[in-house]
Amino acid sequence: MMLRHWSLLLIMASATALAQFPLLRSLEVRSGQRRPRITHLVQDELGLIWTGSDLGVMRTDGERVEAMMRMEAAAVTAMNVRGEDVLIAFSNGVVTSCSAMRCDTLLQDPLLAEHPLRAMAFGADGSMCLASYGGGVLFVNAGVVQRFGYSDGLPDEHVNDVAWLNADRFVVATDQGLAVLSPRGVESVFDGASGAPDNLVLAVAAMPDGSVLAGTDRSGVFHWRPGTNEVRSMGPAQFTSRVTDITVEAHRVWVGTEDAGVVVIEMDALASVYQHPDGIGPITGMWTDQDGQVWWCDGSERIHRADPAILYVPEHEGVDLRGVSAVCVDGFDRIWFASPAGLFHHPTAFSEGRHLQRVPLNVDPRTPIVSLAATRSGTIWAATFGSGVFAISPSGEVHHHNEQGGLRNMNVLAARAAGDSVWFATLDGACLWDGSGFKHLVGTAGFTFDVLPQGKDHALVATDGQGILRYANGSTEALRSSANTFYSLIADATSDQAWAMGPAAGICRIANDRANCTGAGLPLFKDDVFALAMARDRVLALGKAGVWAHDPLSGAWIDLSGRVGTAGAEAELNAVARSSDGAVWFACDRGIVRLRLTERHFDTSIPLVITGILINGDPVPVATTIRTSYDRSDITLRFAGIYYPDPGRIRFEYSIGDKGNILRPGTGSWPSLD
Amino acid sequence: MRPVLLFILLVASNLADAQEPARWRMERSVISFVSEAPLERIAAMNTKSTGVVDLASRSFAVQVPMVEFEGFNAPLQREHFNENYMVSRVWPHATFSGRIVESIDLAVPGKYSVRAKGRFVLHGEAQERIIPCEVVVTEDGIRVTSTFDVALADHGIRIPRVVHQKVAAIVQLKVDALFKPSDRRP
Repeated sequence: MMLRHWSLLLIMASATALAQFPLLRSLEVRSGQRRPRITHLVQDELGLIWTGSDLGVMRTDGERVEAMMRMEAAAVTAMNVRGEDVLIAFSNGVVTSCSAMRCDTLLQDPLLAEHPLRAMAFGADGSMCLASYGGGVLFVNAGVVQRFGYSDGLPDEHVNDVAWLNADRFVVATDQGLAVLSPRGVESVFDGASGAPDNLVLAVAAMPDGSVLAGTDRSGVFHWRPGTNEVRSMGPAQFTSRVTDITVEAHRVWVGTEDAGVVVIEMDALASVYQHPDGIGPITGMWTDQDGQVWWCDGSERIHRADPAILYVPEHEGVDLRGVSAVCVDGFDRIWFASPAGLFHHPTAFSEGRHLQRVPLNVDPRTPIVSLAATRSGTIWAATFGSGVFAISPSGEVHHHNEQGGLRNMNVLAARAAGDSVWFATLDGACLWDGSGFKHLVGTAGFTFDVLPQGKDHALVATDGQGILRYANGSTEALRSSANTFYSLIADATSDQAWAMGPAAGICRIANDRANCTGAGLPLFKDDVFALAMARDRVLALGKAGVWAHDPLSGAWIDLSGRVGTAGAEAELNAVARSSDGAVWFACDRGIVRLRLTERHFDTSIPLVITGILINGDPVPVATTIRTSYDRSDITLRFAGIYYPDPGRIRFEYSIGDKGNILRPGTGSWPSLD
Repeated sequence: MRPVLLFILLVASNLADAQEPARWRMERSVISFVSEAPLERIAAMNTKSTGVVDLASRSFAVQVPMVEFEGFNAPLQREHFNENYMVSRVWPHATFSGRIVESIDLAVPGKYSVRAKGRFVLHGEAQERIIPCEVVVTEDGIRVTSTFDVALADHGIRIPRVVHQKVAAIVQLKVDALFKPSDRRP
């Protein structure tokens, strides 16, 4: 076994101008010195990843790699999972079934040596449908093998892929179109003559509604409903590369190509498309894992895992988004952002089909925009550090406000909108624009970093040195807190609960006249902190050390840094926004990061699986109860913790009865149990 | 189906069904290759290939006798081509057999851009290839032209380092073939 570590491959590290793509991680899978060319990938029931390559089959938990089996002079041609077993087809015509303990030959057919399997799929009844390139389709059920070819109505015996549709029906991709078939025969064929954009279908996936997605040689991906001639092309019109694989995850279609990387098509109303062009060879082995992450391989020794909930946008339409200093979302769900290149807005769905709109705004580059706010009427307020504030009306008219116009100070750190009012935090206190003029918030003189409107003439102000101030109806009082400096304020829209964050305070719940703080000792607060955000009823604290989430109900803290991938990033203060779908948009030096976190991101449990049991060196079935005799008391347990975001961080401890021992990773041995 | 077997069957059935125009025979062809290396350009052509195409199934099989390539820059070069690189003694033919992807009717006159997908065997090693072709169907027959590259390494042909400046790793092939119904013998 070899220890291998995750490498966090963030696309902004690439020298090429890449567009948006989900957070991507890569894992090197090697057992020994030789570098395998991995072409197949599946995840078993335990959560372990199995890979098929020219050097055989390996299994990994993200940290350790085990060589599971190898056949001399035979490469892996297909893999899939059926129940607890991993099925593997080899180029010598052998199909094996592997469990944690061993591998057994399931099927051996000379026909499959001549025409190797390309894919396998399984029906609800456990029947197998095997796609053979040149040998047609084989159905295997209860030991009976049926073969379908030209004479049975199959359009071509060169079958490239297969997917299970429903019941005992499957759809196959052939060199001459699609075919739907069951053990009873070929039901229907969909080819160029009946309207398919391309006869040469190389990959196929079934949708939950029984429709089919087909990846082709020249025509990208098309959607087809069996039993009809209705076809719809999907994705970018310029699908420039042959499709090699398809998988469906939630409302997204992930498409692997020959030499243009991975294309992600979001099928919701926003219909976004992302493309990641990196990759050595054809993308294959696309697999949606138990956590909703998508894996694939590219013919190298690396396998890749993408989290669709975390989207990185380092660049869009040639505009570098790695220097964005302020963001906000307006009432039309457009994201506004300020960068050295100017002020822009864009729909909150980034894709190649949507365009940036640049808003002409003459701002001294020495006084950058540091905060943006959108009012209910659609006016965008841009606060600068040194040039006052600018109001851009929906018609595009720009009004510049400075000290002469009543602005408290030209150095503005935050702008927050409440209805059509806008509140500002400046280096000399906070002020309010009520539509007719500026009004200074009495008692807030001095450095203020943020302001949180809480109703008409009510606001909280985060200060440097005076803690948190509550402004209400013309008067100000300081809240009691454990710290004097606070950078960020936020309110939970559902509960109206306000939170504050400061470098030495952690995060603080604002209640009545005090701020109750927690988390000050966390690693996050030992370094620069940038912003607060709300996601799924948790408070997110974003800083250079990463992202931590606080659950107000339980009081627990969760380190999301590994899952989000922003550790080490630099950002401007409070460069964060939230769109109507609950996504958090965070601007940092890696681009604009969109976080659409789900409950699984906050799940701190790490599955512990037992991968093998040995008694006196002999493998025994993995079971909840181990029985052995007095003379066979040498027991070894092999186990793994499955945590792919950062497998190297897992540490184990265990105890037996009243004895406590610290376990070295991976194996626990009791040479002689009493 | 093994490509050689396909070829034999197609030819045999071609003879058996001489009256049926579904299978057309290659009447004439020019298959040429060019190797453009930094120090030398090698070109040769072959007019002795055979082949058949089945109009109904759109399947085809072509067989190229390696020893029939002519041209080269010197007789010794041709000898090296056959003895050292192609090993024609062991693998006398290159073959390409498969099926045309597009659902076109080859019996209907016209010009078609198609993909020929199949098994290309050279030097005893097979590679699955998709080769774009131009097909022109007239009353004179079916003319197929194509230009594509072949990476010698894909077929186990090793170029010794000492001559790598004279033999290109990727060779360009050009095909120009005319198929006629098998009953229209010259």
